[in-house]
This record gives sequence, structure tokens and C-alpha cells, in this order.
Amino acid sequence: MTTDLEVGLYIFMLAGFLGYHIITRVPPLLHTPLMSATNAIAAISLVGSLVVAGGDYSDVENGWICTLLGFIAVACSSTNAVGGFLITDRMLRMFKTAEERARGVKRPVELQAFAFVVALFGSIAAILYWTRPTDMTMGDYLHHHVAPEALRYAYIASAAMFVLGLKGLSSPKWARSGIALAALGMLLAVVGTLFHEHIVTYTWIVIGLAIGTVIGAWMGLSIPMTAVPQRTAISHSLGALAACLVGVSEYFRFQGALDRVTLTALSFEVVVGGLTFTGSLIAAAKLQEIMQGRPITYKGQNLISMTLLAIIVGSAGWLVYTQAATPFFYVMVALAFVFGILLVVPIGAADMPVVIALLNSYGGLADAAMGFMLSNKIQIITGSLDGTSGFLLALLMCRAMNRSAANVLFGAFGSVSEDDVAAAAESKGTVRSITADETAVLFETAQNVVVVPGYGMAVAQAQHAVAELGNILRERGATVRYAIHPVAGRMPGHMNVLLAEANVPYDQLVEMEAINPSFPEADIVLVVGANDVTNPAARTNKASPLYGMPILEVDRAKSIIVLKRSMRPGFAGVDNELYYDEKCLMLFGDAKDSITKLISEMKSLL
Amino acid sequence: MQRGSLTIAVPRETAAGERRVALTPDAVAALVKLGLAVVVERGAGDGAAHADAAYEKAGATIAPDAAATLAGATVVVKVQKPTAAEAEQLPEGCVLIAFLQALTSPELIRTLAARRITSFGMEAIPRISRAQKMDALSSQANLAGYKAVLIAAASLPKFFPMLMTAAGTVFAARVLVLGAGVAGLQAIATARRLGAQVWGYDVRAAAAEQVESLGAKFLAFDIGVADAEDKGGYATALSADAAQRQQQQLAAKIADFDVVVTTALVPGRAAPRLVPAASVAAMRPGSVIVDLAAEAGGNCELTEADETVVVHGVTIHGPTNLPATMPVHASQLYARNVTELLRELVKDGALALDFEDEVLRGACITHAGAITNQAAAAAAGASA
Repeated sequence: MTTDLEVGLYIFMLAGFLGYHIITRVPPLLHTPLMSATNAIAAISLVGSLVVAGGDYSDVENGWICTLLGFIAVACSSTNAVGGFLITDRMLRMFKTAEERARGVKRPVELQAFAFVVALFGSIAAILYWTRPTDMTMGDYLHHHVAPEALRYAYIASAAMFVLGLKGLSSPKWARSGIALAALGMLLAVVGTLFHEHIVTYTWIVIGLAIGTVIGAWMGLSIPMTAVPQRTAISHSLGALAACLVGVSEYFRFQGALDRVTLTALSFEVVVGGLTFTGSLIAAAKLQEIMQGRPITYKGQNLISMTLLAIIVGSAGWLVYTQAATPFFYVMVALAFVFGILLVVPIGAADMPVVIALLNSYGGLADAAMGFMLSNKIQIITGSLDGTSGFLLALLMCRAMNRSAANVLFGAFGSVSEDDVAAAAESKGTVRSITADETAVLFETAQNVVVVPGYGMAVAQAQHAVAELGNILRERGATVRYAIHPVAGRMPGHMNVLLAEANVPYDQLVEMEAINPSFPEADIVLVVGANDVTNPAARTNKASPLYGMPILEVDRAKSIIVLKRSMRPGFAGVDNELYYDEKCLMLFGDAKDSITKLISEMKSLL
Repeated sequence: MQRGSLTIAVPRETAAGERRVALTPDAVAALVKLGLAVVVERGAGDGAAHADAAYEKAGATIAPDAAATLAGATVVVKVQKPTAAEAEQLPEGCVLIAFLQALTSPELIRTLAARRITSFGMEAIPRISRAQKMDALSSQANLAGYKAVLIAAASLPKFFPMLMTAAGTVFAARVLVLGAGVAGLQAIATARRLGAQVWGYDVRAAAAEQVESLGAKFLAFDIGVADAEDKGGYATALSADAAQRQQQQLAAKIADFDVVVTTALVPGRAAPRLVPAASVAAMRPGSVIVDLAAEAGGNCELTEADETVVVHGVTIHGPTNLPATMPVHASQLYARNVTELLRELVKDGALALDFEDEVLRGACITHAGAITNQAAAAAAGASA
């Protein structure tokens, strides 16, 4: 057991590092699909649920309770898996490459292949079922014919698929194939688990899977894209519930007569799974606006939450120490549920994505704990990947919102003051920043690029770098145009002089009136140090000193990348609300440095 | 007059050497499309290569003389300010748009006020982002800056670029541009594109960045003044002390240059004396000075307006109306400025003057018998 534990811990640690490195390469653009994808992968709790639902409890008093809990867990986690992968794929379909668009591919090939594989496995299962000798149970029949090693190799293969799948998310180009691969990995793990030596009956497994698949497919296909965060939260709470139930079932089965290591893992699993379950439900309710979105705070909140946490941790420790069967275990689970609610209720709606990422991470840890409990390596790997990626994602989001991680983490314990709430309500939103290598990734799939040069380009003398970038994009088959605002720069014709110096052909320069109608088709608008001439306030805000000035309507483009030295306002001295647009990413720094870096990153991606 | 038929009159420019026209046929077509009537005096577009036929094709009526052009006009658009006689000819109560030079022509302003003419000075358009499309000072200064460098290059007995040839090496001309406004910046850009080594200088602190944004170098020295820029972005006058320090340090540097283009103007005042006679004497023979401030007295002590003089072997040009030497583009840009201003004045084919509007209030010199522009009123009052 000890060696098994050590191996498990090594796997946990290494998978964590792997997760960290994969996730750091994922551009902010793909953070939402990433969250959804890790959420889908967190449905690996399905593997444990299957074992519990199909287990042999003939020697356990009231063994049907274990089967029932396992059955619910299977239904919940398969909903999580099916819904998670479907919604992720739908999200990623928005990042179609121009090639795909040209071919007009409507039904993704990956899904077709996936459906084919499922059908194949299904028919094999049916044939096996009908050909089995009548005196054997299905489980015995399978174990006779398939060596137990097959399961372990299936797990290794699916672990590799999960890792490669997440890796695929580092570029829009590979993201969809990556998710399809991860889904295949999940399928392989599930099918492999069906051969698990502890599984003897399949009735409840099949019913649970069918229910989960139907609900998951309905959720994945019918929910509007705007409701994705809520769906992620709900699906996630189901996954966590599954983890929690599996733990409860195991405890019930052995009545606490387990070794201390397993008991520790089990307690951790039920507590974290339980609080993630209720926490995610509350988060979903807030996002769906069933509950009021703003933070709900009350006096002594910190004290109550911390006391509760202390009680839970204390009782878990006591359970592990005594190794006894006690109804107090179920009280602890209930307290974990309550704690989950207390954890999320005081957090405002704006911080919800961070909370969801964090809950995702907790869910992953619960999965890993389940893996330790059941000595299941794939669950340890996946749980660890998920745990680190969720945590890292939460940190990245905090950074993007200019909040310290501590603020958000302890904000979770209710330190959100009234001032913060007022400030959050007043602020125009958050500014998302991006790095040069992330920008390079975005340019990989862009087919229609518009460059908006401004005074910032002139000051940085970045015209040659800008022209080189344009040439590189053109060589790759993209359309590149330069949108010249009539008052860009500090001199009439300022941009013309500079771009001519950099040998940008005159026919690539487009006047404002001519380019404005075509901004909606632009995949990326690269704003190089232009400010006021792109400010949507000129169109919408009557109080703005820019009101009425014709602007380049870059806010209508599919995505906007702004190169800027700082958040300082432009010539007119007004803030540019474009920067708070959720399609807008800021690449801070000297324009020339940024573009030079961008160019070298783009070359290295080739 | 018929409802909705607001008439815009374009008289022929009469000032000597003026070849621009206030509206081009394209601009006329745009206005006609807005439902306005346009009357153009015969031959008004000749200087800018626009024949009467082109105006007629654009929907304008051609009038035989100034009197016929102005009769019944609601709005009169010109490039140059009207002469005293022309001002008397304007229909009473009409709207006049032109470069009025309101601060330096008090007599004219008083006449316009007395005749209850609503006049807008193109030079008085506020320098705010929204009004840039009407900013004729910029559009014309842009041309002047470009042409000034061409004049300098044409009269410099040297190459602008550096050339290393079998017959020896020619070093690039050193060009200094004083004043980094629109004209100065365009002069810098143009000189750079011709291959010269270019330096710029301005009293405004922000100008260093702007000069460098065109790839030129900023000539820096300390005159003990942090910044001399008003809120409209124009230069303010320096104190006597600072001006003297500036002059001394500049004078010492000027001798290093082959070409000096001066564009320093302070609105409503005589141009600052940046290049004293002594500096000219210190320059290498064959050097060239182009003084774009000649009309306001010149940045160079030896400049004579509208003349080219050679002193100590240094050629000094004092052109006062360079935009008129490029009348096609100058008219095209000016006409666009005027059209944009007209769009602000006209709503649904009728005059609608909204003096709450910052741009109109700023540009308006006289209205309803009064001089509405404070600076112009002060200038007119002082000389009355």
C-alpha cells in the first residue's frame, strides 16, 4: 500500500507540473473553452462511479444503498462528461479557420468519428451480451476473456490523450482536435473501466449512462452560448456530487474499516466534493440571476465560515484517527455542503468566473483523492491536471482583473468591503492584457487583418516592423489592410509619410469611409498606438469631447489587439472605452518592441 | 427666396497671386446633393484648373461677375478675406466664410459687424479633435511646409541626400526646421524623404516627441522655460528674458545648417525673431533660408515678404502664400474644410446656427451686428 501511495503521489506531483506548463501556454482568448474542457475532463469521476455502481455488494448489509449511490454518481458524472465535451466543442467551433469556412464544413468531422466509435463499442457490447453463456454473469464472462492489464493500458493511453488534448488548447488551430482527442480518451477510460475486476453487474451502469448521456447531450446542444458559465457550474456541481457520493458509498460499504491513508483520501474527497457541489450550484444560481448577483455579506461571516471549516477538518481528523463507523461521518458531509454555500454566497457576480475556475480546481482535487482511495492512477493524473489548471486559471483571471490572488482567495471568505463593491460597480469593466507570444498564436488563424496605425507607431518609429508584420501575414495568405484615420498622428498625412518610408504599397492603405463597413469581417484589428480615432464614445457618448467625430469602427471587428505604452489617454485626454470591450486585448509596451517580439514569435511557431 | 433653396456664392479670388478657389466642383456636387444651390463666379476655378463647365456639370450656376454672384447669396465662401470694397458688396446679413485674419484686420471686422454679417474665420476654428476636418490652417500649412522644402532644395546649390560615388562622397544636407507645427512637421517629413539630415526645434515640450516621430532629431538646448504651449496646442510668446536666451543659443547653432526652414508663429502677434542678421552672416555661403512667417514679419531679421534676397551669399525666401502655388490640392483640401463647416451650419437645407456648439462659437467673428470673438473685438477696439 505504501509503495502504491508513493507512486500515486509522484504521479500527482508530476501531473500537476505538466498541467501548469500546458495551461500557461493557453492564450486568454481560449480561457473559457479551457475551463469548460477541464470541467469535462473532471468527469473522470465517472470511472470511479462505474466501479461503485457495478460492484458486488452481496456480502454487505443494505448493499443496495451503495449501488444506488453509484448509480446516481454515474448519471451525474456522465452528464458532466457528455455535456462538457459538447459545449466545449460548440465554443471552439467559433474559432473556425478560414479554410474550414471556405469548405463550409457544418458538421464537425470529429463528432462524426466520435459517434462512429461509440456505435462500434455499443455493438461490440451488444454482441458480447447476447453470446455470453447463460450461466455466467456478464462480469465473470468479461473477466474470463480480457486480461486485467488491458484496463491499465487503456488508462495510460487515455492519460496521454488528456494531456495532448489540453495541449491542443494552446492554439485555436488545434483546439478542436485536442478536445476530440480528450473526449476519445474519456471514452477509452470508461470502456476500459467496464472490464474492471470489481464490476459484476451492468444494469445500473447502463441505465445511469443512458440518463447522463441524454441530459448531458441536451444541455450541451441546446443551451445558448450566453449561458455557458452557468452550465459549466451546474455540470461541475454534478461531477463533484458524483465524487462525494462515491466516497460516501465506500465509507458505507466498509463502515470505516479502512486504513488511515484511504480514510484520509476518502474524507478529503467527500468534503471537497460536497462543498464544490453546493458551491457550484450557488455560483450557477448567481450567474443565472436566480439569486442576486452582488455579494451577500453579514456580520461575523468570517468567524462563522472559519469555525465551520475548523469543525469539518477536526472531525475528518478524528474519523481518520479512530477508523470507526460513526453516523457523525454523514454530519460531516452535510457540514461540507453548508460550507460550500457559505463559501460562494459572499462573492460578487463579477468574480464568478474566478470562483468557477477555483471550484473546478477543487473538483479536480476531489477526483485525485478518489483516485488515491480507489488506487486508480488515471483519476490521480486527471485530478491533478484539473486541480492545477483550475487554480492557475483562477490566478491568471485575477491578474487580468488587476486583483491580487489573495484578494480573490480571501474574498471567498467574505472580505469584500462595501467600498470594493461600489468600486466594482463603478469601474467600466476589466482590461485584458496579452503577451506577444499569445498574440502570435491569435494571428495564426487570422485571414483578414486590419492594421490601424496611430501616433504611437510614429513615436516608437515602428513603421518598418509594422510593414514587416504585414508582409509576413500576406505571405501566409491573409488579407492585410491599413486603415488610415484622417487625423491619425500629429500632422496631416503623418501615417502616409511613415508607411511610405517603410515601403507599404499605397493600394494597401484605406481611407476611413472605405474601411469602416468592412470591420465586421476583420478577424483581427491591430491597433498600433492609435487611441482617440478608435474611441467608440465618439459614436455613443454625447458627453464625450470626441462626440460626433467620425472614428474607425474597430469595435465592430471580431477581435481587437491594441498595442499601447500604458493606459494613458490620447490627445483628447479621454479614456477609451474600447479597451474595456471584451473582444479587446491589450499588448502593453513600446510598439516597435512588441511587434518585433510578435514577429519572432510568429516565425518560431512555423 | 424659395423654401430650402439656400444659396452659396463662390466669388473669384482677387488677391494678387491667389490661385485657389473656395469650392471645387466635387465639393459643389456634395453641397448640391444636400439640397443647396451654388453660384460660382465665371473663372473662379481657373487658377486651380477647374473650368466653369466642370462647375456647371456639378450643379452650380455660373454668374458673369461678382455682383451677380453675390446677389441673393445666403452664404459667401472665399479663401482670402474680402477687400474693403468687396465687404461693402456682400449682401447685408449674409454668412461669410474665409480666412479673415480677424486679429490683424480690425477695419474689415468692424465693417462686417456694421453690415450685420455673420462671419466665420477659417483661421479661428478651434483645435479640437472633432473640428480637425474643418481645420483649414492645418490643411494649408501642410502644403506650405512641403513646398518650403522644395523651394529650399531647388535653390540649394547642393544635394540633399548623401551619395558615395566614384567621383567622391557628397555629404547629406543639414536641414533645420524651426517650429514644429503642421508646416514644420511636414517640412521635416519632406526633407527627410529627400534624403537630408533633419533637425527640428520648437519651444513646446511635446514637440520633441513629434519631431522624433518623423525620424528627425530634436535640437535641444536650455532656455529656462519648461514649456510654452497654450491649451489649444499653439505656442505662447516667450518672456523677453527667455526669448533672448533662445535667440543666443539658436544663433550659435544655425551656422551649422545648409537649410533653415522657419515656421514659428504666435497667433495674433508678430513672428518671433529666431534668426538675427548676425546668424545669417555666420552661415556658409550658398545656404538657404525659407521663412514661412514672412507675412507676420518673418522669423529671420533679413526676410522680405514675397521676395527672395541674397545676403552674405545666403538665399532668403519670404513666400507669403505657398498654398496658392499648389492650387489644385490646396483648393481640394480647403473646399473640404469649408464643406464640413457648412454641414455644421446647415440643417435640412436651411441655415441653423447653433452657437452652443463649441466649434461655431469659436470660429464666429461677427454676428448680428456685434463682434462676437473676444480676441477680435479686443483687436478691433484697440485700433478704433
